Amino acid sequence: MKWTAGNITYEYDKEKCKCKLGICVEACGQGVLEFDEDAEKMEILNNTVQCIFCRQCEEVCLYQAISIKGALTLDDIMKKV
Amino acid sequence: MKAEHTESEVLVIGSGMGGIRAAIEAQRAGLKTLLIDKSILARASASIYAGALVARKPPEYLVKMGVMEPGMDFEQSFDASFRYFVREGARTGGSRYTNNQRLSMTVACEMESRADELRDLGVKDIFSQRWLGPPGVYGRDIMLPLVEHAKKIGVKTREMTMITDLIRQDGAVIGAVGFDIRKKKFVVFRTKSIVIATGSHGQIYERTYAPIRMTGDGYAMSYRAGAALSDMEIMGFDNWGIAEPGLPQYWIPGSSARVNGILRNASGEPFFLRYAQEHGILGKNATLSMSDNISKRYGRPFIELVPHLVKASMKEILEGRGDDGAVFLDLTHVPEEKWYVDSKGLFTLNILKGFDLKKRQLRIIPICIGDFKGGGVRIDEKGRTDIEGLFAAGDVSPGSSLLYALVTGVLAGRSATNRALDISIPEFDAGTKEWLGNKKGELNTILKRKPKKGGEPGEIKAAVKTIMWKSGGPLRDGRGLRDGIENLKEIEQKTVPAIYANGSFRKLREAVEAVNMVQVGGMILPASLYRKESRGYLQRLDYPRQDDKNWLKNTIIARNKNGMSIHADPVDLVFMRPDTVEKEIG
Repeated sequence: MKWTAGNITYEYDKEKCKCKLGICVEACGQGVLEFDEDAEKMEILNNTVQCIFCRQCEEVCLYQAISIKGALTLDDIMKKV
Repeated sequence: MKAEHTESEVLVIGSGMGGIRAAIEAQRAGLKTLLIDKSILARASASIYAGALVARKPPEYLVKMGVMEPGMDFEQSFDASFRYFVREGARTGGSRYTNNQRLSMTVACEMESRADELRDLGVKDIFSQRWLGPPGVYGRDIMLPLVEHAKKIGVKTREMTMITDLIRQDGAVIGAVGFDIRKKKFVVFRTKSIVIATGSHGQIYERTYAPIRMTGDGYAMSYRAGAALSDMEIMGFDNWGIAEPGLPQYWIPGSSARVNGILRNASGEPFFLRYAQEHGILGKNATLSMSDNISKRYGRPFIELVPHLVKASMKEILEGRGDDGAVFLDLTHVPEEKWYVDSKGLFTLNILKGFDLKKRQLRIIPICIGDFKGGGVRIDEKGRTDIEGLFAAGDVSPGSSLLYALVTGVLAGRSATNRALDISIPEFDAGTKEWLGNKKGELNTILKRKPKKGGEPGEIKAAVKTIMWKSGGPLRDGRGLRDGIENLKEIEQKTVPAIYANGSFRKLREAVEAVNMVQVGGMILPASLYRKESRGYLQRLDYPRQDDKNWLKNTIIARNKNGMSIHADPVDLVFMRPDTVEKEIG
């Protein structure tokens, strides 16, 4: 699954989602993600509008199933400074 | 279903800053310490999103570029900090002289050394988060090393385990009951001391940016165990909540760029200028120039202006001068490069997802911020609650901020340790075993209950949030509060009994959170009705003035045989008194 907002792209590869724990769901403070208990996989809810690109879900994923591209990072400050 | 039984010498519930720091304190004393969280460690807490420990000096490049002023005076010395905490209620919902002065003094005295000490606990850079922390999760580089340190020194941890109730026997808290979401079983904990550090209740409001697990569990379970809570009516709100369709309901972080914003109503009038003049809040050196940042413009430190900004925006909206229920934040004049000088600026651009701030003004409505609130489980300057064996740290107690959580974590951890060193782990008596059986039965009933009309936990949460925003939001009045109390009672009586989890332990967590939210709302609204004045972030339209003569008091909520009781205790003005009291004394 893939969705974009502005210059940012959020990509979730369901095939790679294998931890069966929903760690990413727990790390999401905005309630954008949900754990499908039957499939033991993460599901993205219909409120992606609430995503703030804190990137916690991407960071905790043990299988690199989530990738967020295009979000500004501290490097963007350093380049300007 | 058979429950798992486990024991520790100190049990810490909640793994934000207060909880982790308390656990480290207990483990350091050689006590068998267990740190548990209803979600994953640290990541689901508000601490991970927290902006800064202490502001201190900003990075040199920001000063050189002229975009950042040196840290505010109150952050420069313990004496100034203490005065600021009490006078402005800077860490306690703008509560102005109603916070616990002994606790404020302790926090002020210890904050610098406790922050410095973090370096020994694995935190590399303790002061940069405010400007150069990872965008959006500024507290991450403090919190994650702390978790690692706690594990390294032997703190046992347990994730995805929700505590539903504290176990009280012979007047003392001696354990807790809950369930493990992953193992799908009930768990009973026996212990000598409990530190509760479950965070705040920001999720109780419809408009909030508190993380989703901040549902006030600690308030509810402490209340049920008989602990007193104080000043629950003083909740934190901030002015900068995004209300633009297609964008998240979130807060616009306090970046170097945002401080230059201008609030406008639908007519384009910079209405806060009018409000500030009418309400006499302009400082001596106010420039009134829209090209200056807000502090310079109105001549007062930003933090002092926040409750006024919230009130002014809400009044514009309520009095029909807003636009579709919102006001505008005008940032069109802010040079683009200003957004690229600190982490909060970058984060704002990420959240705004391409919204063109140069061309359009942004719709905003005040929002609950979870922290900056004044209420919570009452503690003394040693982190002790009213109940033996129960200690509290961080936002679950009457205060907030990462720094407050750090110091109160140490205080509560130390007191919990002292008690645990003196006693053995208590055995459950027959009465407690019977109570536990009933408690497990109640949980099991909800767990097994099939979907029933009105009993979906998410729907109950949503209903509570709507009621709380309408009746207990930034501006309140007696009529709205009474309506809100009635509406919450209806949910409690008609809907909560139908709440279901349909066999899912994750859903059971939602259900318990929903019940806790109903209970916490049932504290905030009556406490708001009880306090007949406006103070800090508690703004009553029917009592618009701060009334030091009658309300230099803490509202105290406790459970008695007849249900909930509310009374007011005079504030102990042990170190500082407001001018109004000084004049009266003569």
